Amino acid sequence: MAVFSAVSCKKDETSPNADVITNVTDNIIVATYSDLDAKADVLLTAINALKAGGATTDELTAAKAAWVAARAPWEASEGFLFGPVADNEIDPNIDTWPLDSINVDLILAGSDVLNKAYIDNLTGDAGTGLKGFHLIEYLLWGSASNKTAAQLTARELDYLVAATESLKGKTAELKAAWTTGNFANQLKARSTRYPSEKAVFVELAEGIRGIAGEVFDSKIQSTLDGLDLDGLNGGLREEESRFSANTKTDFTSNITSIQNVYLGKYGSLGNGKGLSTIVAAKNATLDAKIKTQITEAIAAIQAIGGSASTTYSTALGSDRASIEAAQSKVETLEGTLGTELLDLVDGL
Amino acid sequence: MKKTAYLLLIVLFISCKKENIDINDASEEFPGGTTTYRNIFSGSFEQPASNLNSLEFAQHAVGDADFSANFVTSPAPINPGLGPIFNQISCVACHPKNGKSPQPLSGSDLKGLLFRVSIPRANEGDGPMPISGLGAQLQTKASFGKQSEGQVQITFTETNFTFNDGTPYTLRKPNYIISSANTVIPSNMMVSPRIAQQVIGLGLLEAVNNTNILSKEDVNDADGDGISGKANHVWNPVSLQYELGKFGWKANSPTLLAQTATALHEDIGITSFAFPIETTFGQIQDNGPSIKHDVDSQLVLDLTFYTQSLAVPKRRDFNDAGTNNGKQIFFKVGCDKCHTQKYVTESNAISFLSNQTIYPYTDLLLHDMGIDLADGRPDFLATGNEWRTPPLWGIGLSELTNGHTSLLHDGRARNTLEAIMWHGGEAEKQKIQVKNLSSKDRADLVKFVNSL
Repeated sequence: MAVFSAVSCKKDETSPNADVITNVTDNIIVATYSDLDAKADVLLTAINALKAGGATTDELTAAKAAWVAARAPWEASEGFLFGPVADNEIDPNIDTWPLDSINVDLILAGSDVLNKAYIDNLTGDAGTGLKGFHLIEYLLWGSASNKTAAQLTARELDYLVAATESLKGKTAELKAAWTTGNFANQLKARSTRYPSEKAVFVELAEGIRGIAGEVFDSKIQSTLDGLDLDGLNGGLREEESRFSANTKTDFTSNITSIQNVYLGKYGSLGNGKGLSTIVAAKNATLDAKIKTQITEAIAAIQAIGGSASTTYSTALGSDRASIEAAQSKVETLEGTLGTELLDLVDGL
Repeated sequence: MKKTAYLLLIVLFISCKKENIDINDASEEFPGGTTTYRNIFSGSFEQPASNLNSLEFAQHAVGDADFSANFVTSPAPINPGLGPIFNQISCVACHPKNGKSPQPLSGSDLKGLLFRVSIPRANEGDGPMPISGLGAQLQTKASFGKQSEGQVQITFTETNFTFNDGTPYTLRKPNYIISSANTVIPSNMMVSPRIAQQVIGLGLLEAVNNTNILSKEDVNDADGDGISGKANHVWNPVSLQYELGKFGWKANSPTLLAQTATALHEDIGITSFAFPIETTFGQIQDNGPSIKHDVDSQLVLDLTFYTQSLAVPKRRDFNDAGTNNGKQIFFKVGCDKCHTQKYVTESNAISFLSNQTIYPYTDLLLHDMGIDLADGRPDFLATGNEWRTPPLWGIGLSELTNGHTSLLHDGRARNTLEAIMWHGGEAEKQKIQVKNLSSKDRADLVKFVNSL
């Protein structure tokens, strides 16, 4: 009896490579997008509560916390910025930086009806610099990061609700593109975009290499290069999440994104089959090296400014060395991913 | 006797020698020479050329940041200069991941499609005659509180055809209706839809010797092969003289510097040393005279260098049986009469672009493509029926880089086979030959083109 049921239930065996692709696709990528969508929902609830019956300090605190919580999975998705997030223009609609603050202020001063459709259509009128995470951040924290609940105007609250509804629409669209839209299957089964397992590994390896490069050479470098106008410290203006002092957390999430794809784990999700599995099978030394470099990059980012409570903005003025040290660790990681990891994947 | 026979053999060998299309040269796998990037993934169009030195690499990175920059209305601490009228707010908005724009399905989101406009003039060789209140391009977006120049509605007409073997196919033609918020539209306005092209390989094309290009001109079809390629001679707004046109759907742009400065100005509303006056000058959106340029010349140069120093991706399915069969068909049908396979770039170009053996599959000349593809709008020497042969490298990667396969001047072809079947005019005979291919040969031809 047992033999009969074993035979009838037996599936085709999967290759180790296929197992990695399945785990990374389902338990890292789709899981990250699901988490993002769920947390965008929590943010929307918090923003609606903030607007309803006038904004209180507690409600503003909760809304800010919800923003930070929703930001984390978005930044943790930057290790795989390919597919629907790019093709469907979701990235520019939820994460454009800098803000077009002139036009934001004009909208606030005007009388256009602010609803989700208006925000969605802003792509058509004046661009993506009027919506998304940073617009919401700007309205919640203020440009000097010291906004109080009492200072939130009714108009700003309307803009907040509309922009958050729009953001939630995009996170839902992103998740759906991978699930009901079947993009995940294009990686897990074969497709014209991914005709081989190797094609998927190249995409994944280039993805994690890409975000490492973006962090050290663009996100951090632009703050170190920043122009010194209007009395602000050089580079402050380029700092992407300075209103909320969330920049160190953003960068940590970016490198964690690399770690998640590499180790095949997303928090408690995932079975540990990631790119590490492929690398370790061919070159244990390289595998250990990459793991170490990821850990060191994360530690160096968290050590910016010397303590967890020192913001990136402060460190730009008082402790640039710690920023450069973190940049160097990320650059080293990018170098290894861009040469040794890609060489190994190229040889699959 | 022996000597004569030997000479005869040599003569025969020379006269019969042609491209040995049965065997690939190893260099073909690297269509950009040593600039070629080896990994195939969604970012394959965004890589720096593989042969840059560290200084060039650093300069490329500066231009990379500029190419992705989102411009905003002035005054602003970061990236000011947008508008007052524009088509998009950044280079990547039209050239996502440095690739081709998808075809827009609605005028409410034109993506990378824009419309050049003009009215007829006695000597079209002087360039398109701008329209009062519109200029020579329709900017469909405006800064908050300003009016755009107009809006566009798109409808489609689908026509059914059959291949010789009975397989059906359809071609879908877009129709554009322009309504202007700005000014009265002249009844004789000519409109040309132009979709954003991929940004790879441009430096290499710029480094192709002009004499080489001109040597393939055959305006009156003197050799009787049905192909009459024509060079465009166009105004260079930077060097202030007429030069050979190489870039753009009608080859109306002579150099990458001219192209970059023009795109910044017309598409984003950014003034620079090359175009110090806003596109709104004299129009209802006019903000008054601009005191300083929106961007400094270094930004324009950095952006230009960026477009020159991008890698071309490696071939796919190289030496594959189907690809090789497709290549044979490509040459037998005569696609290479316009889609010239190969060049060696000049030795006096920028070092990383010099002396490269490249495989772009374009003669960079204008050809009459028939009435169905015509826009009816001359552009310098290009007639209303003529289009520049676009390069084919990277054509098969759009699905991976951008999630679409839109092709041709307004993205009307939904895939490579449709693009081939739109060919007419000088290419009518080639199109008929493709129509008559067996299903397998047709598939292999497409596979070869997509492998480029």
